[in-house]
Amino acid sequence: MTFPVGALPFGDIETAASAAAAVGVATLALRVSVVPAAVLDGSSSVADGGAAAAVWGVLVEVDGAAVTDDIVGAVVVEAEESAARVADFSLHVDPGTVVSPAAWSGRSVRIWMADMRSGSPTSALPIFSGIVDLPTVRPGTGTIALRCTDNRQAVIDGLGRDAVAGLLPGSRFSAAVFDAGASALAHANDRLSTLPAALDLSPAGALRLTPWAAKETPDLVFDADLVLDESVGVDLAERGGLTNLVSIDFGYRFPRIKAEGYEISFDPLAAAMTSFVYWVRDGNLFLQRAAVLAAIEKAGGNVVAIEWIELPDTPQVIPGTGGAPAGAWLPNPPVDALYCLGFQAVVSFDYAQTTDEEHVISVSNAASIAAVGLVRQTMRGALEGVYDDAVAVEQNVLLYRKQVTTIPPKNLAPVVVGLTNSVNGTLTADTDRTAANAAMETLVAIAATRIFASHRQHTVTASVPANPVIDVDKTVMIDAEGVLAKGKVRRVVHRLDADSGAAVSEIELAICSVAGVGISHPEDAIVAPAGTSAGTTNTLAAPTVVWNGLGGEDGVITITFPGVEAAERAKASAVIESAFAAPLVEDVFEVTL
Amino acid sequence: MNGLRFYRDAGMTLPMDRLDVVQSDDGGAPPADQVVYLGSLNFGKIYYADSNPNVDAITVSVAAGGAGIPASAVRLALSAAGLAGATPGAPLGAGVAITAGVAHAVAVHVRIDADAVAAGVHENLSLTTNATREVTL
Repeated sequence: MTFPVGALPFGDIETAASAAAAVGVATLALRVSVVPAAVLDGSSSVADGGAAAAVWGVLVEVDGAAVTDDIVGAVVVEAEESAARVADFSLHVDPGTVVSPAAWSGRSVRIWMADMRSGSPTSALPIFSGIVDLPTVRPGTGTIALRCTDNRQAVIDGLGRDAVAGLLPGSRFSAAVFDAGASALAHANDRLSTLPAALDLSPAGALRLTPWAAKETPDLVFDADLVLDESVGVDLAERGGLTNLVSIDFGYRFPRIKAEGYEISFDPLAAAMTSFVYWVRDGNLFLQRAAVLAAIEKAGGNVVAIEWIELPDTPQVIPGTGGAPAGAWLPNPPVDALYCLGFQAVVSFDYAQTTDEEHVISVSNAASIAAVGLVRQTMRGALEGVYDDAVAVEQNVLLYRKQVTTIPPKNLAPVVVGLTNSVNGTLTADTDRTAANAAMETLVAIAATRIFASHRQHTVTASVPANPVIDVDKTVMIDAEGVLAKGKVRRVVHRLDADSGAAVSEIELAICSVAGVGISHPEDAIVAPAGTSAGTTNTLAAPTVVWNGLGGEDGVITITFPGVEAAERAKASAVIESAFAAPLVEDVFEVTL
Repeated sequence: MNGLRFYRDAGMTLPMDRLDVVQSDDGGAPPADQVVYLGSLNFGKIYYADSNPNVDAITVSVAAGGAGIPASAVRLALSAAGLAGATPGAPLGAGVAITAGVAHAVAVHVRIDADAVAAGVHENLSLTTNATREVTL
C-alpha cells in the first residue's frame, strides 16, 4: 500500500521509504470464560463429580489451533514457585505426514481444563499459557512430544530493571552487594533474595508476586473426602538445612578530614613580670615576627589567625639604677613592624584519616535457636568510599590554609580551638554513607529471608482430583490421614490422562514450623546501624614555646605541638555491633500418629 | 507489512492474538487484570496514526460485537494504578508514535470485570488500534 507523500504533515518522514509504508490495525481478541463461582473459587472441580461420575476434558491449543483431538497420553502441567511453569504432552501425527520439528519451537500453547458433561466444554479454566520450548520427535512413532514453558525468564528479562523494581515492592538493592549491571532477570533474582515472596506467572501468563507466608484463611481446604487415599505425605527438613543465625561482617572504609585547633599565647614580658622599658633596660631581645611564623610552619602547623603584641609607637624613657633615666627608646615604625613583644595565634594541623568501620551484625530467630539450637551462616560484604588521594587532599588543605590558593578544598574541617574536629569526605553516591547503609540493610534482608526460607523446607504432599484453581499462589489446608497442615503451595502438578481417565492434582505445601503456631516471632525494622560520626573529639594538650630572647641569647624561637592523640589514632578503626530479629510466619502443622 | 501488534511480555518474546480471562457467572469474581504490550519488532520502523501521522494519537479501543460481555466491562490504562480511574469501555491513547524495538513497547493494562452473565465462553470483545502507518526511520 502506498501513500500520497505530499500529504504528509511533517517533513522528516517524507522519504522514499515512506512511500512503501504499510497501514494496518493491531487486534487482540478477548475471550472471557465465564464459569460458576464455585468452580472459580475452587470449591468445585470439574474432575470431581461427587456422587456422579466426573466428565472432564482438557483443551489444548497450539499456535491458536485446537489440537485437543490429537493428544496422545497425559497432559502434565507443573508449576513451582519462582520457577517457570512447564507443560508436557504429545500429539498424534498422521502417518506419512512430513513435519518440520524445529518450526514448533516458540509456538504459543494454551491448555485449559473443562467440564465436558454437556458434550462440549464448559467451565474452562486455564492451567497453562506459554510456548513450545522443546519439540521431540521419534521417527516412525507418529507422535511429536512438546515440552512447553511459560517463558518466565524471558518475560521477566524483557521488563527492564526499573520495572522489576516496581514489581517487587519491599525488596532491597545495593550495588555493593549485587551486580549493578545485571540483566533484569538477575536483578529480579537479586531483589527476590531480600523478599520472602515468590515471583511467577499465573496460568494465564500474568506476572504475580505471592508472599511466602500462608494466608490466615486458606483458599482451599481438602479433607479426607477430597484427598486421594494414601496420598498424603510428610517430609521434614533436616536440621542441618536450617539457619537461625546469620552473622554478617561488613566493612566500610572512608576518609575523614580532620583539623586540630591550637591556640598559642606567648607574652614573654608578662611571663617575666616586667614591662617594656625594663625589658629594654635589661638588654633583652625583641621577637621577630618572621621567626614566629617560621617556627609554626616548621612544626607543621598552619596559622589560621594571629595577633601581635606590637612594640610601643611612642618614645619610652628607659629607667636607670636608682630611678634616674638611663636613656630613651625611640620608635622606628618600618623596623618595629618586623618585631613584636609576643603573639596570640590560632594554629591548625590538618590531615586526612581513613576510617575503617567493621560492622558485626547478627540476624537471628530466637525461637528457632531455643527449639533446635544454633545453626549459623556467615555473610561478608565491604564498601570503600571513593575519594581523592589522601596526600593530595592534605596538600590542597595546606595550600588553602596558607592562602596560596583561594580555591577551597572539597572538604575542610573548621578549626575548633583546643579540640580535634572532623568532617566526612564527600564521596561518590554509590560509596557514601547512604550506600553503605543500603548495603547493610540489603544484607540484613537477605539474611532474614534466608532464615525464613530455611524454616519453610518442611513439605506436606497430597493428591486430589484435578483442580485447575490449585496453583502456587494459593494457601491450601490438608486435613486427612492424620495430617493437619496449612501452607502456601510450593509446587503443583496437574496430570490429565484422557486415556486412563485419571485427572489428578499433586500438591506440595511449603510448611514453616519450628516453635509452633502462636509463638511470637519479634521482628526488627531493618535500619542500618549508626556508624561513627564526624565532629569534635579529643581535647588537645597545649603547645609549648621556647624563645631564647634574653640578653646575650641567640633569639631562636621553637614551638612544639603535641602529637596526634592515641585516642584520635584509635578512631581509625571502629567495631560496631548490632542485632536484628528475623521473623517467621509459622504454619499449622500437626501429625497424628 | 505493518508490524505493530500485541505481545504478552515486555520483551516481546510472546506474540499475542488473544487474551483469555476467567470471570464468574455471579459477577462476584475479582477483576481480571492483565498487561499486554503494543509494539513492533520491525526494527528501524516507527508507527503513526494513519489518520494524521505524528498528530493524532495511536489509540487502543474496546470493540464489542454482538451479545456477550459489554465493552463497559473493560478498562484500559497505561499503568496498573490508572485502571481504577479509567473510564469503562473508553479508548486509550498510546502516544502519537511508537518506535519499533523492545524498549519502546507500550504497556497496555487491561481490566475485565464482568457483571453477572451466563456461564460460557464469550468472544464478542476485542482490543483494536486505529489504523497505523509503518514508516522507515
